[in-house]
Amino acid sequence: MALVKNGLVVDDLWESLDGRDPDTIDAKTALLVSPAELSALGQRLSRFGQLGVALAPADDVRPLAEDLKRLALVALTLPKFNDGRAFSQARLVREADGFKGEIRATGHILRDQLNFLRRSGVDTIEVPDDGDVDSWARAWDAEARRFRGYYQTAVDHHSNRASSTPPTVLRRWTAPTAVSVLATNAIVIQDATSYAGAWAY
Amino acid sequence: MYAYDDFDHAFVRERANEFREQVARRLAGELTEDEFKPLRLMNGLYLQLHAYMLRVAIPYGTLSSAQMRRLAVIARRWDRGYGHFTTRQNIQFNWPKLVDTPDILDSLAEVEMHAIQTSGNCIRNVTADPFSGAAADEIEDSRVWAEIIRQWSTLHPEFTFLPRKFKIAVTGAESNRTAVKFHDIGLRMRRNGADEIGFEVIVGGGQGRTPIVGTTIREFLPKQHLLSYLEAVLRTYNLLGRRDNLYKARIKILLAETGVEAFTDAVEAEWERIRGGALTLPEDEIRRIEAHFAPPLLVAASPDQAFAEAKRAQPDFAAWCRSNLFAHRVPGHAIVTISLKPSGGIPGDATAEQMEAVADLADRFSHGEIRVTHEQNLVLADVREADLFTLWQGLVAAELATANIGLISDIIACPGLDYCNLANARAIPVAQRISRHFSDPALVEEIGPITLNISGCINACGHHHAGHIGILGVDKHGEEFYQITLGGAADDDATVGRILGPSVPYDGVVEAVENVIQTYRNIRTGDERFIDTVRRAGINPFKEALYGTR
Ligand code: SF4
Repeated sequence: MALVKNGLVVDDLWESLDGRDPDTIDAKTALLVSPAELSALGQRLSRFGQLGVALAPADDVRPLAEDLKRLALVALTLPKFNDGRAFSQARLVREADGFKGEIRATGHILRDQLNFLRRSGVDTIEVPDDGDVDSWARAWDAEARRFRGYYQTAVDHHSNRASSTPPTVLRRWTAPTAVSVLATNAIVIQDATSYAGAWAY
Repeated sequence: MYAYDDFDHAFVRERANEFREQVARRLAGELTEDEFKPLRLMNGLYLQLHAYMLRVAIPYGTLSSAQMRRLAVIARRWDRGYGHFTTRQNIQFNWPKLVDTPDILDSLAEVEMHAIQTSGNCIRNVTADPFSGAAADEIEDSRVWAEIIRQWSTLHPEFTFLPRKFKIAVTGAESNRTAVKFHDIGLRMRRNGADEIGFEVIVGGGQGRTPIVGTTIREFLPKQHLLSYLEAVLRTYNLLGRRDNLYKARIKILLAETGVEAFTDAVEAEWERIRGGALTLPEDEIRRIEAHFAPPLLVAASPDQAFAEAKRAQPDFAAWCRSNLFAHRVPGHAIVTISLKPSGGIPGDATAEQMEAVADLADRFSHGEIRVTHEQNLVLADVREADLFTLWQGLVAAELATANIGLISDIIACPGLDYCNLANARAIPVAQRISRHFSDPALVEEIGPITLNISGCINACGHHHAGHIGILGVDKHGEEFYQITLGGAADDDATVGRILGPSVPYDGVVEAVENVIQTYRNIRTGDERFIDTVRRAGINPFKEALYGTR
């Protein structure tokens, strides 16, 4: 399925484990597993250069804290657009220590939600089945530019957490180069192998 | 009051533009009504029985006279010449056309207003004490904190698709004028042993079909941590709140099902993770907001002679003073409540002309500021005693001088079957009949303080559970019936009213209320208030009087 990642159309190279024996799968495969598979298979997944986890809306992010340091992808689902658990899940994942991967939103997404998703830490969306990929890519950018500023701190103002107290908590103007600046909060994984090292137990 | 700067102006305009695009997409058929619905709801636009309804936010119920005049313009130009003030301190227009709504939002933006988050499953307009800044029993002006919460919650990326709507109220005073225990989160300012100011955090109160008085989950929250704590509560709710059943989705159900202790632990654990982080409010940030709410310069005055004389000479004025004034922190001043409950009127409705009259009076006598109360009345918070008589004459001229604040004809009612597509029964005509029945000012005053609240269905927008007398419209085989509850209260001893007995037909409501009042007058001791009589004697005497002993 087509993806829009930080506003660019990209192919989905990830494969789900789907009950297969991981030992029979090429280690170069970008492999997506469930939290249950992740904990059950443990070491047997360590040879995969790219490993991701697909969370159900009810899955708790916090027990995954250690795993997140090694994961390259967390996929979240909106079963219906108004089921907003993914927004909080994204936030928790993005703020988890050491997580540098992709956060992908799948499911029933409205384009009017893109900015909320982005500001909660999502950097990639799976374009809905009937969607025109290019228009979704344009919508990602357009929504990111719609407001010149926001009232509250969110993950797109992450840098403030590191610095001491920010000058204003409640509102801030977005930098003029909004889209490119904001995209940096999610490190774009162009070269999957550079993350292989991170996944060695 | 809060004044927009470039940032706020830009934000609200950008939001209005977004909505204009969405309406255009809808009108062009690019969006189905199903897809458009969540978008319009996020801008306060409902589809009601007969037409669209636009709910405009009045943040914590504070309006400038210029804003009030603009509401009048909107009422005249795009509605039918009136507006309806709600129990959430907002205003609703009942007859706008979809195609006009973007223009209405533009017009609102010009006077620093909007309709953001007046509906939908998000953090709704925050309510605050309508006497803020003026009441004698105040710790701090609650509007400062309501404004801080308003900003933080505006288009909050994470909390816009919650399981259900989310209502927050703040009070900074000793007495509770915001029904703080009937909100998803109620915040109550407190001073701790070290004389620091913070909040008691009350969670999970609410009305609707499962009325519950809120539970205190934290006795004292230092104020600089307010936002991180709210974020911890909201995140916990967003992740764990039920989404399988509309009627079990509010935070009160989560609290009941998880248990207070487990819920509090979850909130505190999340707070521990984020406290001291980016949401900690620096002192100068608080000051920046506080500066907007600097009280007007009022000079203390000794009791005014002319005022006392006017009261002697004009019994109507004296009666109005007895019921519609509240003690001001500065001697020689009063807090004035303007009743929007004339005999036989629609609770909370005001015509464009009345809005303009109130705006003019606010300019002349109360520093150009107006408040809206959750009882659907208006407040001029800083009036000199010496001006009260002239003010009253102005109110008389505008037909706004009803002397009934806190009395039986000061009825709270939801729109009910006249407008609302969820209603079982009418609420407005019931309120009109009751207020007509109790239109003798002397009698009403003799009955004394009492709240009478009417909802047209179990959703309880008319706060019937919290009324001393509550009236709930129910549907019995296609006919309108009304269930009567007694003993509800929204104040410090927040209580859910108890059902008196079988529901009564539409034509029997006035008689039933009259019966309850007669019983009260028969059994009260001295000048015991209605609610105290009910608390002392229980509902049985009322039940027997109304339904017979059986
Ligand atoms: S209580 Fe029921 S009838 Fe009244 S406004 Fe609310 S939903 Fe409508």
